[in-house]
Amino acid sequence: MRILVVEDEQKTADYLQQGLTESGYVVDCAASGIDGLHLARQHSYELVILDVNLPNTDGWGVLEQLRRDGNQRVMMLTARGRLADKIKGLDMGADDYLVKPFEFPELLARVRTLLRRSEHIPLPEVLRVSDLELDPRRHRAYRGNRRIDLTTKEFALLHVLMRQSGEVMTRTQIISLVWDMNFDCDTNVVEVSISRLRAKVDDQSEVKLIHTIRGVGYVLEARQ
Amino acid sequence: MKTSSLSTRLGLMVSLMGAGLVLLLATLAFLVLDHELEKMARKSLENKMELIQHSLTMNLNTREIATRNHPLPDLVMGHDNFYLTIVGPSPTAEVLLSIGTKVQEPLMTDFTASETLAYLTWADGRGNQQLGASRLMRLRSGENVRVLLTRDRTDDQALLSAYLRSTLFVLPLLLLLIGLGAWWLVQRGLAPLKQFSHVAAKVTTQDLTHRLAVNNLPKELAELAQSFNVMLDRLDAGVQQLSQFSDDLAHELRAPLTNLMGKTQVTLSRARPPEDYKAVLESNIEEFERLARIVYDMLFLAQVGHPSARASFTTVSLAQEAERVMELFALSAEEKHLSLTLSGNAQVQGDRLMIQRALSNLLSNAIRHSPEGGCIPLRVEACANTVSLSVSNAGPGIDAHHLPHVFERFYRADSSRARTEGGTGLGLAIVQSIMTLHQGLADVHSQPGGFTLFRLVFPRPCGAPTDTTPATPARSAMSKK
Repeated sequence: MRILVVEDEQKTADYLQQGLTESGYVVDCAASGIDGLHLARQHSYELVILDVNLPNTDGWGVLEQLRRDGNQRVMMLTARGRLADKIKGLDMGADDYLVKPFEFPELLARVRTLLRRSEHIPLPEVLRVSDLELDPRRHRAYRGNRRIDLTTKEFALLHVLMRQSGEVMTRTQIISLVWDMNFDCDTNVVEVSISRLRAKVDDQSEVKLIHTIRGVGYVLEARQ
Repeated sequence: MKTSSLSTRLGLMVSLMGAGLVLLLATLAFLVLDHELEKMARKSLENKMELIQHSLTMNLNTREIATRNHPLPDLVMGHDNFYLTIVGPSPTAEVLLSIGTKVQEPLMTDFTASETLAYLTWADGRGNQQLGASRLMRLRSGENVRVLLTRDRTDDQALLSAYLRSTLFVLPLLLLLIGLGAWWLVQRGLAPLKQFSHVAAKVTTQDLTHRLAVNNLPKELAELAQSFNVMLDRLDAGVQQLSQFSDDLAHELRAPLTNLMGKTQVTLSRARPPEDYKAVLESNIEEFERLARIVYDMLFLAQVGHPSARASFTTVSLAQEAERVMELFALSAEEKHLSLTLSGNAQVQGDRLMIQRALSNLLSNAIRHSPEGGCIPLRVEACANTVSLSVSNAGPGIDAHHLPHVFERFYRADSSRARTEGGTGLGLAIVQSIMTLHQGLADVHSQPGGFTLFRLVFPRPCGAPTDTTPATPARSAMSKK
């Protein structure tokens, strides 16, 4: 999958390229709107990540051109978080809109969601990671043959982690998906929930599945 | 002309108005004078004619008239502006008597006369206005004669023209005087306004201390000055708050930045094993998170301050939102063996996310400050005009001198504590901004060593039914486990 990053700030472009490349995407960078448009016309990118504040032609102008040329997916990055700006971006045909400063895992998750939109892979009915099994319809979870008794929230949390297995989920993302609170709250609910879930899922097993990435978030995966 | 001064404009308008009025008065006076003079002239003619008639009918015949041996000359001669002509009845008849006439005007013999008194006016050869009264009179002898008594109105004309001349001469001066007077009066009246511009010119964002002196102002301007001063007060407070805020903000940002720079510099000063670098990066991310949280909170405060944020208001059930937030904090509460309870319900107009956020800020504070094993009741109460949601907790309480400041940005009653626990110092400021946006308020009651109670007070949505249902039995978040 090919992604074009149009960003004039070198450091931002660098880490976006590094992060996205390490997540398995092919990434090109452009430092100005004109270069970006030029590249976008030459190659077919699945996604264009576009900064609003660019020299010469700004992000809005590039977005307008891109929309005139074709139907590439566009994610706007901006330091302006006003509602009016968001609405303007979405109205002009951006597929997503992310306000700086943002957390990289969130950007990654959104990129995945945007690229998944076209593929539409149906989720398997029963989620499996190593010997951990989760059946959302019957609301049951097993580790090997042992049934795990979970509260509603613990179940939802495990579901979120397993659905995105291998992806790092940040605290904010987890609060948003499990507790449906879409703002930064001052609570240790995620830490407490994870430690309880870990006690139920991992404590009795050799292979640990729930991992903390300090400073970033949590990931559920089988590591060698 | 559009931008000419107010006093010039008023002066001009007043003099124009004055000019109109004076002209009107002068014209009226002229007409009245003219009319009255004419009336007097006619009256005197009429009187004389009666006397003449009397003399003629009593004593005279045509021949005797010419002899002048009768009182008629005396009647006329005494007044040098009267002329009497008596002519025979036929148009070609000779003149019987002519008194006072130096120059015979053709009209003075060639006139018609009837039984009734008739007036005629004309101008003589030199252009003097004449007024005549003619009548057919019967002599004692039974003959008819035509009588014409003329009055020279030169004197009246002279009077009128003298009046006209003096008026026309004085009028421009008078108008000038009125205009100048009006201009001067307006200048004087508007003089206090100079004070306004004087003060306004001195006001800058650096110096908002200037105020208008209200005492000497006329009533109309005093009100204006009062509101002007109040506006300056508000601006002053706002600007001071703003500069205080940026001071505080810089200070808040300095701490994490110092940590980041120092730690990174120390780490880079010599080669280290990879684990050390990892540890530094991990520690850095915590500081970055703090910085990001401050920036998010600032952005949020800026957004909430904007009235357009009110666009997303819907009907919100307070109990429902409280339950959701309690769910989020249930585990934190459980860790400290606290029980969260909720009672009452009411609906308000508001932004769901913001109300959740305000409540979450209050609840996290309450949990942080409550001693282990306590109880944190949340109460929704509907009063006559307001709906309130309160969160209270036992604990050390807040000192009275801190209470008025707790909603200020970056204000910390206990400066060392909150920062280590991850707060940005903006939590309660956000609560207050949210309540201001909802046209409500946030307040706090606290007894040191006793209970601390924070309250969100919303205006009651108009048309909402009075919710008198007794407080629903306390719901416990812990029981939902």
